Amino acid sequence: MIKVENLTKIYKLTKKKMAELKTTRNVKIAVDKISFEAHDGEIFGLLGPNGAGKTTTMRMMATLLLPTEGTITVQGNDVKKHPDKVRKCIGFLTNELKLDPHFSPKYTMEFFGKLYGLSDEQISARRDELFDKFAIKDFENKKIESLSTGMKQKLSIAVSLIHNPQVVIFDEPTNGLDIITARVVTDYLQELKKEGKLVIVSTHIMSLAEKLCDKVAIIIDGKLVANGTVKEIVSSKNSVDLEDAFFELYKENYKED
Amino acid sequence: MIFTLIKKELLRVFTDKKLIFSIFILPPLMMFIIYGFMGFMISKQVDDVKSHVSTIIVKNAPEEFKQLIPKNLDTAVFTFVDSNVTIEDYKDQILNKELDLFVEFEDNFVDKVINYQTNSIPQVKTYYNDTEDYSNSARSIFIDGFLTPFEDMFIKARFSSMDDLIAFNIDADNPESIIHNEKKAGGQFLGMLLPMIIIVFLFSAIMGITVDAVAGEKERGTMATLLLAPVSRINLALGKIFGLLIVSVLSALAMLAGCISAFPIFMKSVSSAAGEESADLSGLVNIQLQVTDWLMLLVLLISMAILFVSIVCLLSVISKNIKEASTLITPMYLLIMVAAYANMFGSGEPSAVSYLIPVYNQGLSIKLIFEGSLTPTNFLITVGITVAIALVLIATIAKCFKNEKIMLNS
Repeated sequence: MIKVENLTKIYKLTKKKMAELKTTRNVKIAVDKISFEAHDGEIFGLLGPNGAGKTTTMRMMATLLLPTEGTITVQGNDVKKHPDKVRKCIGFLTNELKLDPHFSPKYTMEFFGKLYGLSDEQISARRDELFDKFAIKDFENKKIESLSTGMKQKLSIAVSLIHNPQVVIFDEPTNGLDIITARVVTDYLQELKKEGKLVIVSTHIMSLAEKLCDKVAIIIDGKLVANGTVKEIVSSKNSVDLEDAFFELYKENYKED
Repeated sequence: MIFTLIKKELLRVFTDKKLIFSIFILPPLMMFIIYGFMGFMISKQVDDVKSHVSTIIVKNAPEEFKQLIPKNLDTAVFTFVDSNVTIEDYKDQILNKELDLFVEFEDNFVDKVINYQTNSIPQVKTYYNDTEDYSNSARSIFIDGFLTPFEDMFIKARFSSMDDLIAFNIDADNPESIIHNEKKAGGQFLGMLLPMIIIVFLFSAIMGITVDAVAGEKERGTMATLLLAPVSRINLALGKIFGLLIVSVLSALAMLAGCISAFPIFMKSVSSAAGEESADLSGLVNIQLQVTDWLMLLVLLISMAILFVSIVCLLSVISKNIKEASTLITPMYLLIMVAAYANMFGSGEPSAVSYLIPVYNQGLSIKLIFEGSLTPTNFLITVGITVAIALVLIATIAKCFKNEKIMLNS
């Protein structure tokens, strides 16, 4: 379970950044007092346009960034106080995380397995399981640089799940994937949910969220503007689907600087 | 945990043929090529001057002098000219290397020598180009081979024995005159060049792998993946530094082995060209390092590798990508080169302050090891200063690893 309370992230802007963003304020509030809860056995969606603060929120959950204010607890561990414990129970995947192209998939799994404190037997069992699932077995001894883009993405997912984490956080899970691989991934997310795990995904593809997520939180301009099941949000805005509801919320909440 | 990280850094290098070549094979090979080429060029130059036939023009040569010159002389060709030419006619030829030497005897030279009065000693004038080896060598051949015997002839006639002119001899039968410090003589040459070569090569080898392992990982996005693992940032930083350190020390040792095996080849080619002097020069080939010298050298190299790895690592950590890191490291590389070159010159006792200047003190200490005069105190000061600076840098690197702004380029 993840509990987010009053989560705030403020960046100080350099003069160069201020000019880029055409602003006179020297701070940017990327995430503004967000609170929500996500429970085991559900797929939780963070929705919002680009730059809304989805990735920043997820990076804070994954301990890559420190919250400026507020708290996040993952399986009871505070991200500020026990980042190592948090990292042990989450698997985090974004497009920005890459694997060293020089090594083989087999070695990469072994390396990260060891960093997560797994034994050799645990690593090889988990590796076989994930490589079977994502059809990587035949390529396990090739260099990562020689793999196709889709294969690399699948390997990245496998690596992020080597320690069988209770919480899985995916930033834009299907971005850049071909239709076949995207299906493999979404099916796998459902499977994880069935196993009782908590899956958090961020996306701006509303149809995907509608299909996949049990609950969603909509973030616009760093603020949480809606939180609940897809059904609840759609009916609260008297819309036909999530996309319509989203645009209603967007019109109400988006302010130009 | 930290061993897993170190092992990964080592695997990264040792499973990459290109890296193995550029870190462990190329630098020693370069040593061989540098020393081999230098030896070849020096011996070629010596041989060339030796085999050159000097062209010498002599004005107003007395008949007695002409008779001294053998018919089938193979080291020089003499041309005799009469008194209506002057040096002005030949200056250009000497400058253009067509002529090696112009010699002018005074008119009625022999008469003047025989009937000399005090303050009227006759003169032989020589004109040569002091920037040309051929011209210099022609003048020595002329003076030592012909002019001196010619002068001796007159002195003998004047005093009946040459011995009357000598009050005492210096080292006439004392072959042990030179008390040779073979260790210092052997080390002096190596000590002059080696610190510079080691420092420059070591830094460039470390620069290559460290920039890739730190700034490269940031650029490729693999660093962020590592940051997600449940490893403390300090362990992550130390794992990288230790891994790079092992590679760097091995590279330094490969370089040292390259130097030491190339050095005798260099000396051999020089001494064989030098001919008679080879007996003396062969003493220079024997580098006599004791076990303690080797240990000191090893410790110096390791401490220097720690310093270089931490310098490059810090500059790479604060850079977003390889390009930015290279821009930051280049000025540092130039500074280190200056410190390394500064050791080539300067003689006499180095001042105590010299051992406090990082990198410069390393070069100085290596130089003194080869000369056999590095004191334990100065050795410890050098290593201490180097390691202290490196530790401060490593602490800074660990701090940078904790900084989300630096690590995620945000």
